[in-house]
Amino acid sequence: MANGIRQNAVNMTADEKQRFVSAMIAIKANGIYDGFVQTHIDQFNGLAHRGPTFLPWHRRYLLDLEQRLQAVDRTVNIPYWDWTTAGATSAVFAADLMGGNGASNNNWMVTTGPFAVNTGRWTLNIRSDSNTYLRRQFPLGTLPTAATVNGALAINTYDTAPWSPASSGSFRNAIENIHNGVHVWFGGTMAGAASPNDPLFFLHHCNIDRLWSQWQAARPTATYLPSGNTPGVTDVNEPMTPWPTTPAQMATHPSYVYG
Amino acid sequence: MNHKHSSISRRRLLSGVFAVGAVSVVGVTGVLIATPAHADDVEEQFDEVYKGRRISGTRIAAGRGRAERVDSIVIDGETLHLMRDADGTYSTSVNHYQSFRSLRQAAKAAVDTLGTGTPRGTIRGHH
Repeated sequence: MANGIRQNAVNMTADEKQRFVSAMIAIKANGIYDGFVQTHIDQFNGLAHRGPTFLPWHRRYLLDLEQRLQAVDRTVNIPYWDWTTAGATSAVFAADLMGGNGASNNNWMVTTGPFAVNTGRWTLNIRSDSNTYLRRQFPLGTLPTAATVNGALAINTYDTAPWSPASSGSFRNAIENIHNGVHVWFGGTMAGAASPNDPLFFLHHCNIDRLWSQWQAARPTATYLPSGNTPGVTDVNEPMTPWPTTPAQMATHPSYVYG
Repeated sequence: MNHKHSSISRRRLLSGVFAVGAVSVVGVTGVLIATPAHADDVEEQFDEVYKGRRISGTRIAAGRGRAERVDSIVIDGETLHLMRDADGTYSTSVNHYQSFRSLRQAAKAAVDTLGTGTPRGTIRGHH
């Protein structure tokens, strides 16, 4: 299978943007997308966050979505959003890709772009609150800087005990904290357990996966940790709910490269 | 601030506790509902209006007959789903990527994020 290229969202051509958006709307229309939102909500106090499986769980999650998109249009790959260089005024938020911000006088409803509720194609069906439309409240705080990201990438150990938000000297915890800040920056839909309702979730996590991939490429012998014998924590060869997939199986990503 | 002796109606406390399906509890004013909660076990208690929204919270330690601790936030009658982390901080279904040291902080953040919306009583979605 040829490698797909996950590229920077700001470098997409008009045709590539249109194909990506159309594939997203197609899997929203047939209910597949809502299933992804439910899978994420089900991990509210599960192992997708706040622990070592954060990175491989989301790698598998994005792979699943990408395969669904490619079933609609085989030229599509998930683009990544590099928030260190593309901020609130970037092309990512233009009406031909992700659409713009909400406004306080409209309950932060997104009203521009292909995922605005007024298109009739992006109603939030699976939710953890009563708002049925995409909402954004940015900027709340600031987006991570390149220096902060480089600090995380310099950490040599994948993860450390106690395998949690309290882990220090942990690449996983450093990158998860950076990731948390981007969710918080948005407020609205992206702040909650049903955050995948905002398609930006996938561009954001694509960037997180890209950073993990970079970290891996720089350390050919570094592995996921823990390797074993940690009750209550997913070891490298233990399955990640809701899949039989193990962290070891997510150590590489043969179906795509980052461009 | 000491919230242990703030005034809260028995009815509101009941609604909050039943909403989370939690163990029985006593009102901080001393009204016995089922298993009594010693005043020293009530770690946080509030019931107030924030930005026009009614927010209340109850945090009671385990012990003295209660097998499990109680952690509850209610916003305009709807339960906010909570997770208590190992370090005692909270995150919620509305602010999934933040940690809060108190239930009051978590409730106010949820109001700020929800806008005019309310939490869902369950984190399971509905078709």
